[in-house]
Amino acid sequence: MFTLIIREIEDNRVFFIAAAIVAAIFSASFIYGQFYGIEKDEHVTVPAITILSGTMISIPLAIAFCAMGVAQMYMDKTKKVSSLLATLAVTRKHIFIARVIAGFLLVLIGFVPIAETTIMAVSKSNVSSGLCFEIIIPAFLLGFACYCIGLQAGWTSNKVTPTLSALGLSVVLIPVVLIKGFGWEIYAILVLLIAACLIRAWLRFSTAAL
Amino acid sequence: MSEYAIQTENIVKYFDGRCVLDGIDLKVPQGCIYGLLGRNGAGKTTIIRILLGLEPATRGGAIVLGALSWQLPVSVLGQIGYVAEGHNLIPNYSVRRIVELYRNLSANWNEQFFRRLIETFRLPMERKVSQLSRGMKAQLNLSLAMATEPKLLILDDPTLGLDTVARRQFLELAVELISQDGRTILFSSHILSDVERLADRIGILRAGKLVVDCELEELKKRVRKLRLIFDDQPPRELPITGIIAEKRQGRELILTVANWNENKQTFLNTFKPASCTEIPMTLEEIFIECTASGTDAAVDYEQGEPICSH
Repeated sequence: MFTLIIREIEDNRVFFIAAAIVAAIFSASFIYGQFYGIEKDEHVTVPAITILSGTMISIPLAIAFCAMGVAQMYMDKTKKVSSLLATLAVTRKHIFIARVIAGFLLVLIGFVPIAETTIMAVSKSNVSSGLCFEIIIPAFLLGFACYCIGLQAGWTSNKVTPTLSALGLSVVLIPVVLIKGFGWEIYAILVLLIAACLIRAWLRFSTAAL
Repeated sequence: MSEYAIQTENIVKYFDGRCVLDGIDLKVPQGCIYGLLGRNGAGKTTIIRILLGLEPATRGGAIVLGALSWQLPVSVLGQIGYVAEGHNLIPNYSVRRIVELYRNLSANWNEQFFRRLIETFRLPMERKVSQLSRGMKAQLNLSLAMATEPKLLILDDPTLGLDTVARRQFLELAVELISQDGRTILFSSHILSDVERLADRIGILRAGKLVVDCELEELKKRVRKLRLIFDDQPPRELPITGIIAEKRQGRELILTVANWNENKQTFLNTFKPASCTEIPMTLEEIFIECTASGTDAAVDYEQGEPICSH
């Protein structure tokens, strides 16, 4: 399993590097703003800036997560990767789990620096830490949901339509979360979406000709 | 453990409404070298892919090393070596990376044997798979499959794209592998001299049906080519079942008959031919006769009589 996870990460290293760079830029901008950039303004609070910029940064991240899901499945289908792996001492279940773990790691890499920055911003203000987690958890779920949408859309030989529709759906998901607001309802919606996408992706992958 | 390494039951496969495999009952005994033959599009690769669980059958199923082919567990997958037609190796990987992948994901990796093969074939480890020639890809794929020390080796046209020297090297390796006890090999090939040299059992697919499934010697015994010379014109119709090919020239009639037996000989004698001599057939000639379109063999098979089945 470890070999399969490493293989997924190596094959999709461009996404890991991109996510790490985006997260690093966000964190660096925040730290710079803390020390040098932002003048005191009673209407513009540090958490507000962080949340706003976090939302802005989540769009390219969501696209990157979704694109990795699409890329993993699309490259597998076109280059017949699983067709080779499934003839070694590896089952389709192993391949799929390794793929999802790699996706989960990507979301973590992209998300952890942003989450840490948000926590830092909140800790300097009088906002409760509960609110901080109410934002962080759905944001993480949102990122993983985007990845799962890409994963289930990518198992196709048609490149354009599923990629665009998956990316579109991912981008639409962000305002849905913002409009709906943070709370248990959005947790439930995102968890259900993730479960549905993973089940659909698994059913397609497990029954397909490799 | 069953006496068969591979056992299929009534496998039917449709692609886009077109029947590719039509009720395949294939049995490959343990320790057997089974040559699967057929023309392009006859369904050889599809059978192999179904056996490996890469392709779902429309109906029927297969048991491979005691496990259902569609749900092969890791323990069974680890005992199967496979060389795909067209050498399906990940094109953007380097040879070294592919080797690492096989080494880490194989149940029984024989490093020493692999090193020997790599040195024999002189494969460049740093080159990308996409930059290898077709022959090099074949050599790499064979080396990888053989180094996994498989109990069942499935080779789908393995010598395709190899030059004569490389083909000979492969055959020698195959013979070495075969000499190790208990190995079962299923291979398809268009080079019938190779099949004749290696296989001890033969299956011939014709239009999705297994028209031959028997030992090579049995096949040679049961498919006969006879030259009959009559005093006058040969009879217009010979009511013998299993006539695969028929060629008339003056008083001469050349017949290729499947499922040859004494009864057919006795019946043929009632037509009082002046002479009846047997023309020896190679596997290639048998294959051509069995798979040529428009023969009676297919008709016989549809009536329930395969050319040779045991």
